[in-house]
Amino acid sequence: MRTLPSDAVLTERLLAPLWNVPRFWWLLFGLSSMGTLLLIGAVSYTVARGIGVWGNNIPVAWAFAITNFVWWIGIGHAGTFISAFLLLLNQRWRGSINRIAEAMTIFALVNAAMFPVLHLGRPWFFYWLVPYPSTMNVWPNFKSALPWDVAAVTAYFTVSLLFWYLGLVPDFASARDAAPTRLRRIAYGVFAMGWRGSGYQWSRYRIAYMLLAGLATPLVISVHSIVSLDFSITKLPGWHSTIFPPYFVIGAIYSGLAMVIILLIPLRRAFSLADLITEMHFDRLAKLMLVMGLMLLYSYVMESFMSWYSGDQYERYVYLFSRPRGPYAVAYWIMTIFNVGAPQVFWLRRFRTSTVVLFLVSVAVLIGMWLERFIIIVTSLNRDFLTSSWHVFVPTWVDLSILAGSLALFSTLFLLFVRFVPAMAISEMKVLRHELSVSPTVGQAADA
Amino acid sequence: MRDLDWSRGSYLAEFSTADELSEAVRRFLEMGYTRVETFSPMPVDTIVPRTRSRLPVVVFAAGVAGAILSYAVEWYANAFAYVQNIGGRPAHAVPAFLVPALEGAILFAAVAAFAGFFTSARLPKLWHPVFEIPGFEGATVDRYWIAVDGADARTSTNTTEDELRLLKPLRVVLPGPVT
Amino acid sequence: MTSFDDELSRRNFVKLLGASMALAGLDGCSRMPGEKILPYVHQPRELTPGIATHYATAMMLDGFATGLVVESHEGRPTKIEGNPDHPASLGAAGIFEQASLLQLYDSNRASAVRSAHAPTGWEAFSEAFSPRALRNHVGGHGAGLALLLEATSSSVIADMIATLKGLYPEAGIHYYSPLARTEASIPQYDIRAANVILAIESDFLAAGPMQLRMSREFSDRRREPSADMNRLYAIESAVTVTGSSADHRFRCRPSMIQPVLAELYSLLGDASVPAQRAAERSYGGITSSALRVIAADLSRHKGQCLVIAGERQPPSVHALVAAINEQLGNTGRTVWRIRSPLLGAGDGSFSIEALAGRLRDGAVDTLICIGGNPSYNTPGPLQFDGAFRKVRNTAYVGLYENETGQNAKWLVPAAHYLETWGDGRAYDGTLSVVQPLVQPLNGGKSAVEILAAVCGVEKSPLALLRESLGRTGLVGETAWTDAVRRGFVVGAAAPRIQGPTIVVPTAAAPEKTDHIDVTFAADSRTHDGSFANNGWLQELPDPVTKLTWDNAAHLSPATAARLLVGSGDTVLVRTPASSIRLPVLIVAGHADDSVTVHFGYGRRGAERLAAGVGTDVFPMWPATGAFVSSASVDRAVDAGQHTFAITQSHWKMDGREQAKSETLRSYNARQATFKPDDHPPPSLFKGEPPPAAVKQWAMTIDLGLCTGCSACVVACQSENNIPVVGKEDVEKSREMQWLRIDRYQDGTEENPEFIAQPMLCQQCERAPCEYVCPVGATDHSPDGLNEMVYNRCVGTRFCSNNCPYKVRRFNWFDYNAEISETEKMAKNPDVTVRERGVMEKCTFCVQRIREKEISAEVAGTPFLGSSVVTACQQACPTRAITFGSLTEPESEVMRQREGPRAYNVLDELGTRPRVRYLSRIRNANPALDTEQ
Repeated sequence: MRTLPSDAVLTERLLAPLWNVPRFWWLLFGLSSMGTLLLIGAVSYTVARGIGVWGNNIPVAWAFAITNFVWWIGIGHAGTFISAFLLLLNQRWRGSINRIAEAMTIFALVNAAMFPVLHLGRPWFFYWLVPYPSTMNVWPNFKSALPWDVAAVTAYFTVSLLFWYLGLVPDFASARDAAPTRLRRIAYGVFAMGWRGSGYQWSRYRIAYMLLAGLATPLVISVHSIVSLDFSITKLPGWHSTIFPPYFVIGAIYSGLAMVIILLIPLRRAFSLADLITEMHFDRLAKLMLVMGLMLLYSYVMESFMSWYSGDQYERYVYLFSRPRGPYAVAYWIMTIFNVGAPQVFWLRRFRTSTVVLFLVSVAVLIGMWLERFIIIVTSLNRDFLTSSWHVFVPTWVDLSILAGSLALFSTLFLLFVRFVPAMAISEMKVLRHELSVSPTVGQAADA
Repeated sequence: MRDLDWSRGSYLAEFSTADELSEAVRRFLEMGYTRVETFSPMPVDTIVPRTRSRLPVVVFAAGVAGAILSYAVEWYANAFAYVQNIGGRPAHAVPAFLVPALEGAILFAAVAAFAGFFTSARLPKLWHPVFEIPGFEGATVDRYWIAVDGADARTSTNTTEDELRLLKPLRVVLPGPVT
Repeated sequence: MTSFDDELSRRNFVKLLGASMALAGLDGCSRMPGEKILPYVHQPRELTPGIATHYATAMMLDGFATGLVVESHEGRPTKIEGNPDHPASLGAAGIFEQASLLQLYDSNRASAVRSAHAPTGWEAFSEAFSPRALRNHVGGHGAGLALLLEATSSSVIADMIATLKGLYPEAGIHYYSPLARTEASIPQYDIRAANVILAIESDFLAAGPMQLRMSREFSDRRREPSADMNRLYAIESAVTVTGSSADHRFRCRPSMIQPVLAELYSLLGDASVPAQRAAERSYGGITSSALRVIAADLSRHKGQCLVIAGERQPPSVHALVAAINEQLGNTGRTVWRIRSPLLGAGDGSFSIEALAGRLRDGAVDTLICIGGNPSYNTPGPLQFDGAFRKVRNTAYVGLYENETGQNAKWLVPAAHYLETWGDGRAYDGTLSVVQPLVQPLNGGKSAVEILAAVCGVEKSPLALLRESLGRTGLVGETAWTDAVRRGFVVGAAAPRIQGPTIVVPTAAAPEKTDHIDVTFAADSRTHDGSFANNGWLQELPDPVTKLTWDNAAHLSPATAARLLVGSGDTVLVRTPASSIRLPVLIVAGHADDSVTVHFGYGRRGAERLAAGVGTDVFPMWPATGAFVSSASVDRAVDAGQHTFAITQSHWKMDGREQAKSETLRSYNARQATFKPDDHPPPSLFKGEPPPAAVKQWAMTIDLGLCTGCSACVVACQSENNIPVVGKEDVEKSREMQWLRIDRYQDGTEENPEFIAQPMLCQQCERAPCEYVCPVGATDHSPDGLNEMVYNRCVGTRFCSNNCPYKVRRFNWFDYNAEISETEKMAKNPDVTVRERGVMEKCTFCVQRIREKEISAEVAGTPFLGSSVVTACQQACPTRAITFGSLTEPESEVMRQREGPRAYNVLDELGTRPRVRYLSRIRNANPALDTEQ
């Protein structure tokens, strides 16, 4: 943080990936596009034949699709958390990572939004969940949590996109003015919308940016709370729980932070940004992960305790027998170890700053969080009230291809992002640099 | 003030640091200039007087509107236009209806903030006279510009240039592009 | 889904041809038989488009008739129900009768007369088998001619046979059905008159020609828990519906049945048999002490008790049982005998062994095989198939080109019983008329027509039928009309006769053996294989094991453990006849050291659904046709794991009290202090009370009466156009039946207590499924139905997740796209056929409710809740289901709902179900009651 390069160098370096493409980019891009093709194939097959090609059944009518949906949307939350939350809390260090985090949010949401539509029996009628004056004068039923999801996800996606774009405008302008060829100059010029960086524009820009940050913040809280209501408004033991909204939000930010770290580490290496994305950043992120992990532990404990305390035999069965000892016990224990155990290494600074450890723990947490959603959904459904209707769920190759494919789609989008969009908020970096140059203490102030 | 009126061009000077720019602005305002504007790759705190932004008010109004509209739609759909007996629950379910109302509020407010910014900032505007100045690209990279409006009462062809030169800018452009 | 995969072969082409022919006649009633057919008694004569007409007819199974009433839309039979007046039905219909509708429309049915492999035509056949042509081959007296018919009790066939005998005195007439009862005299029972019943290896509640009547009579003594309640003891090796509905069930090794009866006989005190009171013996389950208790109970009710032996028990067992009944003074009161109405019963013409012999010796030049499937369903050692091929000229008349049809020189498609005139006798001898509802869909011919052709008689089947019935005394137009309208002749039950003199076999001391008893049993769904191509039946969960699309070697947990096998492992079953590999299915409550295998699978015919389903066990069936034999069973190590499609995976209630059961004594104690609670259940919502102006539909199900026979499941499937999904989807737990029968086991693995619980949409007043549907596709009707709006459903399946009873079914694929054109004609026009991706569930047969509502309004008569009968309720042999409206305080459903036995499943969830269950009452014998 102490020694930042000059504005010119900064600009040049941060825009470099836009002008000359490294070979490894093509390699990765090739791989991920192939994965994306797999996704397209699996999805088309599903739509053509019917979702019977998945492993879902009665009782387990929801499985992979909804798990993926909740997981992806959760990952999105870290982006907003970092860019909006930390902005309002005046955490300057976020400057070098918020753009990446926001991009991640948007791509995660693109993935998330796909699943609720895809999992419908008749996906071509998905728009029936949206209120519109139909000729039959029929409307969505707003007592159900699903139209709430529609509202939440729409709002979340739109706001994130606007917020992201607003932040990009000045950097697009830099790209426009630094563009080597006329074509690129025009392209970035269009996205820059004629930004001139005049004092007046800057003043309005800062107000608007703050406002959007202020608006995005309640979304971090509300969206995943609403997603959690899909489950907690039901009667199903394992779903019917009041702890869900905060519990889901924590899990969401948790998994999101893990994803940010997973993206930052290779990016930092690839574009040698060690001086911009510093140990301090990782240290902070790791601390956050640790906190989230502990809060999650609390949720796990409370959930089980409450099920026991309630005295309800169905609740007790799900939390104290079905999950830890039932057909999905392995998944349950992996989840517990990865989500609660793994982050404990971050008590030590050594591990907080070791990119290898960070990366591994983050991967573990991502897996753990996916399993958490899977456990919540499937183990609650597969053994509910009437013992006669118990039945296990086994995924098919289509389920697995769609999950793998959605990861590929995500990385494809992200690769395109680092290739065509300034991956760091250049102007913010300049502000940061300026503040440090005038008073080096600002740095500490920001760090604190 | 929003933007200079470029009808008679402007006197521009280029600096390499934000501090020089702030200093320049201060000096010129002291000298009695009123129509002064800056161009910089990052927000620079200058004492150029600005009108208070109405954006917060607009955004708040939009939020309220969004909430009311969402709730109204829900009420119309479930409690008025097409009432169904849904599991014996009341048709007008306040707690349920509040949830999408909240999201509606945020959505409307956010869109308003976004649109509000571009309208007040007079964007998109792909061409602007200043872009005609050779080397003005620096303004989004690492150069800091001050512009004094030719139409400013205080501006005069024989003094303003020298006053700019006194600030030891990298260079002076005058009079800037005329619309 | 593979069971539906459709490759376009010649056969399919012919099939489609048949289908299109059938469809051509869809308009109006042009496909109705040419002759005048008469609607069921209380029906309008004229045919109004859109309004169903009902016709009485009868179906033969193993030679005995069950009276039916068939619903027909625009001349298209769509539903088969019981004939309320017919003695063998009393208004109920079994699974075979109901599912035979699908058989009528089966696209795999043989559809063209062929000789060798070339399609010829009916003319060619009747020419080739006319006396003129046939004489040259079979000799003047027809010594070279042999006829093989399914077991039948038809007078008109009897007359045709007589004519044939006149023509070919030396022709051999043979009858064969593997499961038919062939003694000269058959026992009749009056279950109503019996206070104590002992069933020995007898599934009288769910199998046999009289099951519907016997179930009804049995249940009539159990409707109200009281001193008058009957008590049922069952001694059996395999778990049967009867055994699991018994008050006391005992296991017994099949080979021990006779010793057990011998001891019982001696206990009941007859000097001629040495009494072994001293020795306390165990017969692989039941012990002497238990037998003593039973004996005491029986002798307490001399003349008012009954011992029933399974139809397929050896004569010695039947003799002992007859002796015991005699001893108890039951003969003539709860049991008596009549002459078997089956043609050729008791005179050896049922011996397939004899016929096989003649065929092998080349004594037969021409064999005409009418119905049945001897190439498949005869004991393996007889090598009937080989012998059949040896015959120079063979003709097979059957519904399908099955194993026999494929080897026959001539194949003639048979007419389905809904396509032809005929007659037959019920088990009690009642003359029943078979009335056609449609013209043969693909030119099928009835047995009578075949015989007429062979005898050169040129008369229509109807004319021949009326002649024969005339001879039986049914003369005159009015008598005929009445018989056809009713479907049978009133009061034509056969006279009682003196049974054969009983020779009590000396009790062979049960020898300790190391071999394993193998029992050959009729399959609950494919019977002897003749229903193997029926999707409804293949997918109907077995009443006991819940197995679909398969058969297996049933073993007790202990025996399986001894053989080191688990469910899904393969065993090699070796009998003297042959050895067969079968997948193991462990059945709690099955007798040790014995294995039960089922006929009717491993079909190799042209039936596409049946092909490759399960394993054929006929090859290891002893030539004698004995249903119990000794075998050795070993684990087949080289075989992989077999996956069964079983619809239930967990059998214990885990103390969740879903299906309540109590003993009569505990009920009496409780009932003394019972007060109906009239406080409304707590709720957050005020929820205005349902409008009294309209009906408020509700149902009660008496678990004390439900035997789990599953007739209701098929009824529901037929009434509501429920698709068949195939084995793979059942494995994935995607079966579609709206009404399922849950089965719980309590107590030990060795001999658990069973309880069956029909589970269907509970029509909750506070339905959890409704408020989670994002598009309002499921909501509540003013008359208290939980409605499902198929065309609004987008298929989120949220409703199913939130349904505590998991009674909602989802169309994972477009199941209805895969059914044949003809099969589509079996659909009920009053019920929507559901599309892929939508949820569906029980609607309380809303179409029936509305139909009655409207007709009452049209007629201007008051609309009574009791006038609506749901499909499941109608089919139920024990009348365990009651339906009606809460707005009618005096209605039966209200009386039951308020009674002490009524309860809601998962009441604590506050869903307020409109379906209530009545707890099961076990009339336990205090001397045996384990609960104290």
